[in-house]
Amino acid sequence: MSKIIWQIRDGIRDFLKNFINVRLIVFIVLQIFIMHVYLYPIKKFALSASYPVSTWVLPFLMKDIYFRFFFIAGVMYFYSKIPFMQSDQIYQIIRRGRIKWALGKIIGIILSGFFLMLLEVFLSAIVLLPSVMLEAGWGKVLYTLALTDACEKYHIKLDFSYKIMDSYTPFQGLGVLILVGGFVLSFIGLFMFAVSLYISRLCAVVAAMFFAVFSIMAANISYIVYWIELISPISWMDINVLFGNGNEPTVKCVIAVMVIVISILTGLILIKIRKIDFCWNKEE
Amino acid sequence: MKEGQTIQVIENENGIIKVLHARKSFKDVRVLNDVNISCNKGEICGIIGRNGSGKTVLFKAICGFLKLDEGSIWVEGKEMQKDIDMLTTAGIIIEEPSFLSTRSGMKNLEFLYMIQNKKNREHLCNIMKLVGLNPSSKKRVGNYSMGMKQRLAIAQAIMEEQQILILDEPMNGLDNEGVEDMRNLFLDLKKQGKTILLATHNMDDINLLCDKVYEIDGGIVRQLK
Ligand SMILES: Nc1ncnc2c1ncn2[C@@H]1O[C@H](COP(=O)(O)OP(=O)(O)OP(=O)(O)O)[C@@H](O)[C@H]1O
Ligand SMILES: [Mg+2]
Repeated sequence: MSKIIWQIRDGIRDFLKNFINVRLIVFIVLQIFIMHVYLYPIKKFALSASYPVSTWVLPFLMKDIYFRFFFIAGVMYFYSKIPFMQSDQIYQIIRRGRIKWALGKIIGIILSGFFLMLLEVFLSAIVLLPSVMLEAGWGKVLYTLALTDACEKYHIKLDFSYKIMDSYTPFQGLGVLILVGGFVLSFIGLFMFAVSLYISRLCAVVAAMFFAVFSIMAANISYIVYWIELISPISWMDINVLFGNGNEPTVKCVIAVMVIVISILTGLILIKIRKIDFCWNKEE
Repeated sequence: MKEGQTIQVIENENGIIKVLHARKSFKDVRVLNDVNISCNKGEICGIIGRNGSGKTVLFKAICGFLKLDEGSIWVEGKEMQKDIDMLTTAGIIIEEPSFLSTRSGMKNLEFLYMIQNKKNREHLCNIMKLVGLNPSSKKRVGNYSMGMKQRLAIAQAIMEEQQILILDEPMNGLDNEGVEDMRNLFLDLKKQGKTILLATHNMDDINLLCDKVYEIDGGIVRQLK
């Protein structure tokens, strides 16, 4: 038991030491830029209606496949230190041993996934400044955008799904999004880790990118076969498709799948990490 | 002594670090080709050899970073790759020193020290002073000179007071005074009963420090002293 506590504490400590870095800053800047492009028309609409937007726009941003694509690309950039073969790891590996070191990194990847989702919620609110307001409901502006033709008039490209607003309170909606999104990002990180160990780092990046591109390709043909898009975990970050209608999965089912896949990836990583030769790169 | 005889002797010795018939290739290049060494407790064992002769590869294998193709490595009676997969009970310097470059030397030491659940600022301050660094300096390691980084690497290797030290060219980039200080430090550590494996290009290190000397060449080691 005390070993497990040590492991978790060590993982959290390592995560805290490493989470804030240059890659995070670049990620934040890029996200703010892309969010600005998407949210600027909404801000204009809110200003003209002289009514602030609520802070809960992220579920609707995530409905957009291109926004998701840029988000995932940013996350992959953030994860680009995977598989952690930087020479500053040497003194850490020798003190932890292979397994504990890898477990620490895995815990770090998972924590990062959830923190990046939280950060994304925060950024989407920041970008709406100054016409943004913290409130318990979805707010007048979002309802108006969902129920009237204001989106068209103001060239707002987002789809404000009434289904989401009707089924969830903002806290529930954002909670589901952070939970599912956190797992999906963890999956991407661990997938990159496993593929880098078994094949190569380049292959890991290409394969992870494929998930993101696949999501776009599938969306473009999904008027023919609707369920294809839903294979890619990245599409699950659109919580609008998680109501279990027709071919759609449910939130519970998606989380169960993610937990299973993450456990399998963790197992594969630990098996391989016991056998590899460590070859370090210089720090970037 | 003939080759075969050396190996016989090593197998029977009860060295705290023993390498037996070690072979290691990268793709088609064989770097270690039947390497045998034995280092007794409380000795300083020197390894010399040309650039690219395989000293670092051998040390990495002893630490557990590389897996041998054939042969075995025994440390304190435990077999690497079988009983343990990483030598977590040794202080090491391998390759160029590399730390978290945005943090101070002291912060780096504290972070590494904490991994084995230890916390003792005073002790770390003393270690910093011992290697000639200022413990209260806020300078980021990224802005350290090469010699300062090397001193910090020595500090991290000795701070846990491990019984075994594996030091790959620990004097790299040190000034004359630093070299002198570190030699005295290593002799002190030896007096405390620690075992040191030392790779170096400096003949004075060999003559002044080492109880035993191996030369590695063409993937094979020869005992010189
Ligand atoms: N990960 C690796 N992949 C391929 N070849 C490697 C790898 N690591 C080391 N080598 C090769 O093994 C040989 C021995 O390298 P090593 O670093 O052990 O030399 P060395 O004796 O430490 O040299 P130096 O005195 O310059 O430190 C070199 O030819 C090197 O290119
Ligand atoms: Mg070397």
